[in-house]
This record gives sequence, C-alpha cells and structure tokens, in this order.
Amino acid sequence: MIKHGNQPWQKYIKNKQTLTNKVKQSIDMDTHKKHGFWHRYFFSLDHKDIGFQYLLTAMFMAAFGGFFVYVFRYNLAFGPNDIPLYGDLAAKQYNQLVTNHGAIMIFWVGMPILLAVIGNFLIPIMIGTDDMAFPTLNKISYWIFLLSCVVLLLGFMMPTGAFGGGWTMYPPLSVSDFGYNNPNTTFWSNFFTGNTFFLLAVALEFVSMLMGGINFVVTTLNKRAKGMTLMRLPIVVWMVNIANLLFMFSVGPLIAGAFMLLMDILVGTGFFDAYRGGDPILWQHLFWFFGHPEVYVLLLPSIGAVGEIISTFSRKPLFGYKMVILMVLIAAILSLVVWAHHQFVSGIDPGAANIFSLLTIIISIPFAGMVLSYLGTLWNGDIKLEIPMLWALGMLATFTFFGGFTGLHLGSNVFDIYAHDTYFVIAHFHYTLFPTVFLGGFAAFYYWYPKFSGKMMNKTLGLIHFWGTFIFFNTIFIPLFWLGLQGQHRRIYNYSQWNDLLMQPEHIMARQIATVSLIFLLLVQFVFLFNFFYSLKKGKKASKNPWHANTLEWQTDSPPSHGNFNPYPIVQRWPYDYNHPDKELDYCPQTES
Amino acid sequence: MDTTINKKIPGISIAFAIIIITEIMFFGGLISAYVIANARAATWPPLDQPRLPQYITLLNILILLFSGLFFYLFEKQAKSGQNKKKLILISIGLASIFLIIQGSEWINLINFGIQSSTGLYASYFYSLIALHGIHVLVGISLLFILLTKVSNKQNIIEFINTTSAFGMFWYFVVLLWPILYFLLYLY
Repeated sequence: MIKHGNQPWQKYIKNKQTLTNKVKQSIDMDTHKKHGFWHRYFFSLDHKDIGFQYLLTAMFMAAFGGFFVYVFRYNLAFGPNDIPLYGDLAAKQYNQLVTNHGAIMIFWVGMPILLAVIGNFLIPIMIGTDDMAFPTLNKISYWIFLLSCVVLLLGFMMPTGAFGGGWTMYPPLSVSDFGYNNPNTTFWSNFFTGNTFFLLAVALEFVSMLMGGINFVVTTLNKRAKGMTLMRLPIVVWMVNIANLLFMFSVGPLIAGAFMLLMDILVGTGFFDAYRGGDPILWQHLFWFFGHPEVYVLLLPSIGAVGEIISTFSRKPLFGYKMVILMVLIAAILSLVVWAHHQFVSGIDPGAANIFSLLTIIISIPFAGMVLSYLGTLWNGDIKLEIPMLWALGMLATFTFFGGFTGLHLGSNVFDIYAHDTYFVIAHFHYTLFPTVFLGGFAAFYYWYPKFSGKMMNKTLGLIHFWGTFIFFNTIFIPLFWLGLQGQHRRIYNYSQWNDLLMQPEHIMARQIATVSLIFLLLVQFVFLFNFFYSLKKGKKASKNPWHANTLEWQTDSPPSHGNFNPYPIVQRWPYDYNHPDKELDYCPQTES
Repeated sequence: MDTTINKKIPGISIAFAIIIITEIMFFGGLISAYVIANARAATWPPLDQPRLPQYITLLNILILLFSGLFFYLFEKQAKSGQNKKKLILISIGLASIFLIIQGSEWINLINFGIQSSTGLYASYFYSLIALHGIHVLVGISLLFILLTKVSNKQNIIEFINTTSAFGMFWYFVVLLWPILYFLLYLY
C-alpha cells in the first residue's frame, strides 16, 4: 500500500480521481430512478435487489424441503402407500427425500436466508453506505447460488436417481455403487449420478457463500459511515460478520474432503476406501470440522437479529453489548475444536471422546452468557409484544430450553452413545436449527419488512402465522424426544416391517401426532405467503420508523431509494439508546447528537 | 463519494487475506489427512512403488522461488512508482517452466504404470500436486491480469493495491511448494 505523499504525480492523480468521482456522482444521481422488471431482477447490482433475489430463491427451495419432509413423515406415520400428492414411496426414494430435505434446509434455505439475505439487506444500510464494496462480485455470487440450486435439482433426473446417502455424505454410502469397486463404470457414467451432482451443488453453493462473505467483511470494515466505529455497529452486523469469518475459516477442510470424495467417485482414488488403506472416518473428521461451526454460522445472524428486536421492543439498551460480542467470539473459536462429538459412535478413541465431550460442554458457558444478556435486556423492560417480538421470544425460548439444553445431554459421550441413533438426536437438532432458521428468520422478516417494502404487514394474519408455527413446531418434536428415549431408531423407512420394534399403539400415536402437526405447520405457511404478497400490494403504508428504532436503516425512506441515503448519515452514538435520561423521546437515533 | 470513514487497509487486500486463510485451512485439511495416512502405513512409499524424483523437483523449487523473488522485485518497483514489465514477465516465464517440468514428471509416472487409483500413495500425491498446479495456473492468470494493467497509468494507487493483494496469493503458492515437496518427496 502507498502512503499519500506529496510527489507531483500523486497529487495529479488525486485531483483527477476526485474529478472523475464528481462526474460519476452526478451520473449516479440520474440513475437513482426506478428500473424496469428485467433490469431490477436480472441485472441489478443493488444490494437490496440481490437480497430480494436470494430471499425468493431460498423460499422456492424451502418449498421443496417442506414437500420432501411431508412425504417421508406421512410414510412414517401412515405407511408408504397412496401418499396424497405423491403416490407410493419406495425405500430408495425415502432415502433420497430425507437426504435432500436435510441438505436443502441447511445449505439452500438456512445459509442464504441468514447469511445472504440478512447480510445483503442489512449490512450496507445499517453501516450507512450506498452498496457493497464489490457489487459485481455480489451479483456473481447470487448467480452461482442459483446455478447450485439448478445442479442440485438436476440430480433428481440422473439415471441413478438423486443422491440418497444422507446429507452428511458419509462414505462408503456416497461412493460404493460407483467408482473403483465397480469396474464397469467410466468417468462419465460416474459423473452423471446423483452423488456427483449433489457434491457439485454443495461446492458451488460454498463458492457463492465465500464470495458473499468476503464482500460482507470488506464492506463492514471499509465502507462504514463517518462516526460509525466498530463498537457502534448494531449487534446483527457483528454477528453476520463473525458468522462469515467462521464459515470461511472452517470450510477449507470440507472443500478438501469434497475434492477427495469427488475423486473417489470419478477417477477411483482410494482416500475413503478401507480396502485400499483409506479411511472412511477421515471424511467424518473433515466434514464435521466444518459441520459443527456451520451450526453457529446459521445461529449467529439469527441471534443477532433477535438481539436487535428484543432491544427495540423492550425499549431498553442491549444489556452487555460488549460481553455478547466477546462471548460469541469465544463460542466461535471453541466451535472449531468440538467436531468429533458427532462421531462418538463412529469408533473414535474413547480418550479423545472424553476431551471432545468436555470441550462441547464448555461451549454452553459463552452461550449461557449471551442468553443472560438478552434476558437482562428484557428485565424490567417496557415490553411491546409486536409480531417480530413474539417470533424473537419464541426463538430464544425454544432454542435455549430444548435445543441448547438437550445439546448438553448429547454433548456428553456417556449419554450420546445410547441416544445417538435415535429420534432424540433428530428432535435435538431440529430444536436448534428450526428456531434459528425459521423463528429467527421470520422475526427478522416481520421486523424489517416495513423498511424494505414500504408497507406494514397484516397483524392478524401475522398472529395466526406465529401461533400456528410455534405450537405445531413444538407438537412435532416433543413426541420425537419421547420416541427417541423409547429407542426409536432414526434411519428406518417402515417400522411396520418389524413388529417388535416400537409398534405399540402409543408409539404409532406419537408418530401420527408429529406428522399431523407437521402438515398443519406447512399449511400455516400459506398464511404467511398470502400475507407477504397481500401486504406488498394492499398493506398500510409504513412510515420511516414504524418501530421507533435507533439504527441507521430506520432514518431513511421506506423503501430506501437506490443509494440508500441522501445525504449520507454521520453517526453520533451507539444504536441502543432507548429511554435515555437526557432525551424526551424514548428512543434516540444514531444520527442524533 | 467520500462519505465513509478512512480506509486503513484496501478492500482487495482484506479479500485476498481471507481467501488465503481459507486456502491454508484447505491445504491444512489435505496435508493432515496425508500425514496421518503416511504415519499409519507400515512402509511409505509402499514396497512396490517408487519414490518420486527428488532431484529434478529440487531444481523446480528453486525455479518457483525465483519466480516469487522476481515478483517481489516488481512489487517493490511498483510501490516506488516505476513499472518494470520485464520483471513480471520473467516471473510468469519461470512459473510456466515449473508447470512444464511438473507436467513431464506426471507423464513419466503415468508411463511407469502408476495411476491415481493404484493406491493411497498415488491418490495423495497426484491430488496434492494437481491442486498445487491449479493454484499455480490461477496465480499465472492473476499475473497476466496485472500485466495488462501495467501500462494503464490511470489509477496508480489502485494498481499498487492490486499488486500487493495478488502478490499475497503468489507468495502463498510459491511458499507452499517447499512444504509439499518435503512431505511428498522426502518424508
């Protein structure tokens, strides 16, 4: 990097740059008008449009994930024949649907919504700038993401069918039919399989998220408005950035593993083939080194958005702002050294298992500190139960109570060995990921919807949506906890084939409660869809700052124009000055001195 | 528009620093997998398979290191306001020679009858060398991008920032090779 000296050529260039910038600025002002449909949704570089594209694509993928889970849950409760809207379900299809449900919900719904949508919509406008640091890279990252969706869905059209070896892609399930063990196959016959397409889709998705992540971090570091110091950033911006850095630090080993797995499938290398000296457990190490931090990559943006909402609707400063950041950093670092707690039953060294148990349980300390901060924010607050607040409280309650708490049980290898292959684990990780992705995601959606559409959402429909989702979500997974403790194995397609295996009336009943709840949960989402489009057209017009919040995005128009601010804000204070003793109003925007 | 706080580090450098950290984790995963496989095997390389050619590759290390050195000189010149196209051309040339030597080594090995599916030993060295080779190719194309920007005197500060960011990547690729050489050829 160069120091700004006084050499004549440097001065000349500086003058010239300011001149071209001025010209560019005047051109920019002319282009701030509305663009047509094609321009807006296909070629726009604006961060808000790209965020909206991510949102729509993720919702489209969520429809697939939701439909898949409906089909296989229906099969588990009522048998594989004549499933409405689907027909008969074969065992192989069951595996494919379970695999793709998991992968879609994590990689194509959770990650785009929590990283890309929240990051794109919020980071530039919350730090007070016009757009991302690299707008073109941002656009490319979206197109690669879309390509990855297409590649994943193309996997269903391959001659061997979609990939069905579990979303964790454990070898030998992910290689055995193909490659070296079957000499009749060639490179191309191995290429056109569900396995290869699944791996390629995941790889493309990672490339897209890496590009997006680099963009977010650079934008946050370099494009903050005047006066926006790091300690004045809203908590959600911190969280998205920490999540992105965590993703980028942890994804390398998985890319390495994915490359090795792809080579095993395509050209018959033997990395994971025990017969030729390879090691299938190696994949599990490489996968979970990424897989555990991935949970926090999803959790952090969500918990950040919940923090914003809780502070706004309690009308109190966020309690322990610096402590939350510190705790999250500690949790992020610890999350890199706990991966083997997913492998207690894979035959790892019992001594190592004890260490991983201990580290896993230690992680609960920073998270407990974080939850304590949020409870401290709520304490004695002037709590307003608006729709976003309901979602935020629902997220905090279910994530902590059921997700985090059962995580403590499973983190201990002594308990995990018995519970690992049962529905207890399924209920546990759905209690961590469902609140994170959907409850937290909807909280953010309802909170920022007025800003990005300029319309208020219908409150009655919002209430129906919240209570429907919240109640049915719990009635799906509480029976599964019980079934798991009863010993219901989690990888069985049709229980009725083993009559001695949990086919008592109460077990059948519990499965049916879970499945019926799931169907209702999916139906309630149509209320949301209706509300989304109805409010977009006919909703009440939103004011600049409908929630009386402090952060920068509420100080500009709803929806913000291209360029976000006019004039650009100068930040005077941190974002959580609610009920400040020196102020008349109960809030004080960041731009106010 | 100068509405933002002072930039201390240029964006492109932050971006490349993040990419390099991801790369380090990527090669870290591969190398640790390789080291464990190596430690577990009774003999390494397996009895019926040869050691890789050590001496010509030692020469190759020097070639790549010199390529990095010439790039360093180029970067230094660029920062003081001069542009020596020659230096970057030498750097690209040396990197290309490196790739050609590695490639001919591969052809020899394949003629010798070692394929990637022969066993774990071959699987690892073909993969690691190929992945490093791809990184060299990417590095060469980054250097070519710089070459097209050398004669453009429009925006010198941006050019210098780009140079130092691309430089980080190139040094990473150059310095990775001695480590891989030690692990794959000698260890």
